[in-house]
Amino acid sequence: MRLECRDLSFRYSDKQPFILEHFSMSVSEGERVGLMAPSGSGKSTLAKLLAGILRPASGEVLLDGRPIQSGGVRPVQLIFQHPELAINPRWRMRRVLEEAGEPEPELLAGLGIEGQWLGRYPRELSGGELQRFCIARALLSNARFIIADEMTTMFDVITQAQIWAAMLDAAQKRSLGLIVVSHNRRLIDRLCTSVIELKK
Amino acid sequence: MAEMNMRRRSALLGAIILILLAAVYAAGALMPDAAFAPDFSSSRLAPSLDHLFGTDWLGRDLLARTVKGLSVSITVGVVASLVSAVIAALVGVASAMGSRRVDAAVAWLIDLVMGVPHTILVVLISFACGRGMTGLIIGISATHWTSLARVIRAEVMQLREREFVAVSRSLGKSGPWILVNHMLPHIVPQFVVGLVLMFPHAILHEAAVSFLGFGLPPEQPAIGIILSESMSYISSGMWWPAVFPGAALVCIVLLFDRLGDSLKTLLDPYSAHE
Repeated sequence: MRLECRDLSFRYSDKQPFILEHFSMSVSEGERVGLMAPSGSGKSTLAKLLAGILRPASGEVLLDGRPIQSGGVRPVQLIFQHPELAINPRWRMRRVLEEAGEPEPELLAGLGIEGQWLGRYPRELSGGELQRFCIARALLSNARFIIADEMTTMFDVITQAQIWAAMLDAAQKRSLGLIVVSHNRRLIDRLCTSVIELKK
Repeated sequence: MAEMNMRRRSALLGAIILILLAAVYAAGALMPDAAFAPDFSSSRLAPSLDHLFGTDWLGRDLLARTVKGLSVSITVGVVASLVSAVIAALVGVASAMGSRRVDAAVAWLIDLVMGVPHTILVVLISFACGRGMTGLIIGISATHWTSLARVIRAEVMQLREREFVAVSRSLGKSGPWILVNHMLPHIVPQFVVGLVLMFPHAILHEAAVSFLGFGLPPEQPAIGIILSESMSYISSGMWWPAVFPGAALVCIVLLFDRLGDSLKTLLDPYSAHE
């Protein structure tokens, strides 16, 4: 399976300047691509476009050469920078996971999610713990590609290392295509098989 | 009370107010008509131990009439507020989730309803719907939904852009599923508080319109009717038909207002952590 975008351009309204212009890239299953750029250069916008959350002004996002079908579970899942915003604060964590599918004990154990956390509300967990749930949710959806948009930027180095170790392990086991969005060169060099640099 | 946190204090206060309001309603609803029947031998009596609120010019006990009137006010307030809040929720959600045209049409309708003073609109609608309790409830319901509809519209629009809603969409959930499971639970606090804070408005409008003679019929013991009639006698020194029912109405309105505040505290998720 191959995820690609061709000639992608985007702006938030007709009166605003383009954030992305004629951008193309592609990722294959099992590949880990780093997307690097300074802040404000459209990394998160590109991540949302690839995940189908935003619609491009022109160009297209293709999966195996065909446009991704709207409706149904998307094969490209995005993990946001702030997990506390990506989880419904009124839901217990078990329900958060069940939205994507039946929680698999081995998957949860691999991500270091403790059983007792499932009965808690998001505000009763730390950011690192919540991000593990976001990863588990993306994996439970049986996505083929995962975009990690500054996924560990807000965490300390130990939590970063733990989360990435779990993520890489899961990606390898499932042969997922991974797009790592970051402005941290060292992190991307460490994690990815190739790097794309976006220019402002 | 001193050791209680804000949440418990609010719950206790809310429960006391609810019991009090239910007691006033039940007392009025269960009261036999004989309790406020005319008795010409005891007309225009000032407040005493026999008649705590005094009697009117027909010798009717004003305490009994006031309690009965408050019960009618609570009925009108509760029914009209419930209908109004449901209209607000439907209109607010439709406006936020529908097309731009629906949104513009709703915005225009809200401006139209808000542009006319409530009392005049309630009088017109109530009059057109045959007056009486039904006309009054329709009039109040049709005019009080606008502010809450705006609040709900804004809340749903904000929720629509939240990341957890975007995630839900990417997990293949449909619009109605997201509305029911993600959005509606978020607007429940606004809905409930808006609903409860609508009661005092509805009750005051019921009293005002009845006072002006366009609401409930004169034979019905309603606070607006009692206050309206008392105006003819106040210049002759009969102060009690105006003061006691008026004060009772203010108390009921303030109780509903306080109940709304208590609910606001209780429904705030962060107060659960105190």
